[in-house]
Amino acid sequence: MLIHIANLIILASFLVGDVMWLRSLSIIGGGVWVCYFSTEFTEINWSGIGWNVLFTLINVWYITQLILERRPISLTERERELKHLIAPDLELREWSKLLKAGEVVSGEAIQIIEGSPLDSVYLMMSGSGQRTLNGVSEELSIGQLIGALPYLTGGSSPEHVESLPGTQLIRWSNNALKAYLNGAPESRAVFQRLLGAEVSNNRG
Amino acid sequence: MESYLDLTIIDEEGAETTLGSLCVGVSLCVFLRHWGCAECSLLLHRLEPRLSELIALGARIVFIGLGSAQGIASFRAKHRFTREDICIVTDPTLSLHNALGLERGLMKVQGPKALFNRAKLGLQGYKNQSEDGDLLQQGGAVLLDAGREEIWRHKNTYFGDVLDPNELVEAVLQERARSSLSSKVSSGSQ
Repeated sequence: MLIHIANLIILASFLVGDVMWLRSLSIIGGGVWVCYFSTEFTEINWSGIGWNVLFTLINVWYITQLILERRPISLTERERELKHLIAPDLELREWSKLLKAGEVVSGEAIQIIEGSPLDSVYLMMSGSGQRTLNGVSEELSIGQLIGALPYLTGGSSPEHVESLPGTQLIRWSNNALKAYLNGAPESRAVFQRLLGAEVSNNRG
Repeated sequence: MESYLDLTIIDEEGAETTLGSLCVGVSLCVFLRHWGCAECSLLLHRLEPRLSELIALGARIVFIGLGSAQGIASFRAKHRFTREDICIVTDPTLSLHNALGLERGLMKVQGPKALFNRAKLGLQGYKNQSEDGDLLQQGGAVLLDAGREEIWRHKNTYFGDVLDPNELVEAVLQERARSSLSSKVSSGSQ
């Protein structure tokens, strides 16, 4: 009897479309198989039990991953607006991971002095400020990247940047960001677009 | 010594020219396989979304095939590749591919990795469609700066080993950043 129940559950797992259900039913079916191998033989069939325990462990691992991937993503209104502005194609979870690779700097004014070493790159999230390059000043705008040239060349800041108090920026350390982007090709492409906009406009 | 940039290639009109005459400023030269190649379809699929970005960064893009000159038009049509700011030329003699040391051989297209990639591409819908050109020759890409110095290179080591667009764009960005920085330094010192 147990062999039929186990196979019916496995059959049902093949008929569902959702991978979570497929794996869950496989675990239940595996449990029934373990009962079968424990009770239906004169001696406990350890090899049958062992294989099913292995399958169950693999399924549990992947179910855990699925649960982690399906958790709701918590973003602030500004983080969502910024994504809409600069990375509309990027998956929300990738965007959330990219933000978490950096830190939000808010409240205090940020000052980057021309010629000083810059080991971080900043993204304007809200507020305002000014950047000056070769005597030419321009207002900072939302979604603009600061520190593109030092990020790409490893040099110092060619421009003077001052944000006003209350401005919100996301700060990534150059090394940490490079390490993160190497494993996140979609986010890397988004970042390259931002860097490209800065470099094409001759900003730093 | 003659550079590969001085070697003769054939343009879309069938006229002879040199690769060097097409490389103005920062130039990306992408070396394709035969015109109906499945791997080249994959390459274009990956590269196409980044072409506008590369052009906006000032890169000149030249595709170099190895099939007949007549095949260029059908290659364009097959891939709906209508952008006129992208140049497609060909070198059926393989002189350019050879001069660059690009891989060629049966094992490059029929070895274990190549066969695995061929099967994978087949499942994804990329299939060889015609065989206009040398079937054993592998492709690659080189990025040249404004002074025609090579700053980045990719050689396909086996079938399906196409370039990573992110690595390519990174190389272009770094080149642009370097030249932008040096122009700022020179303008600042004046």
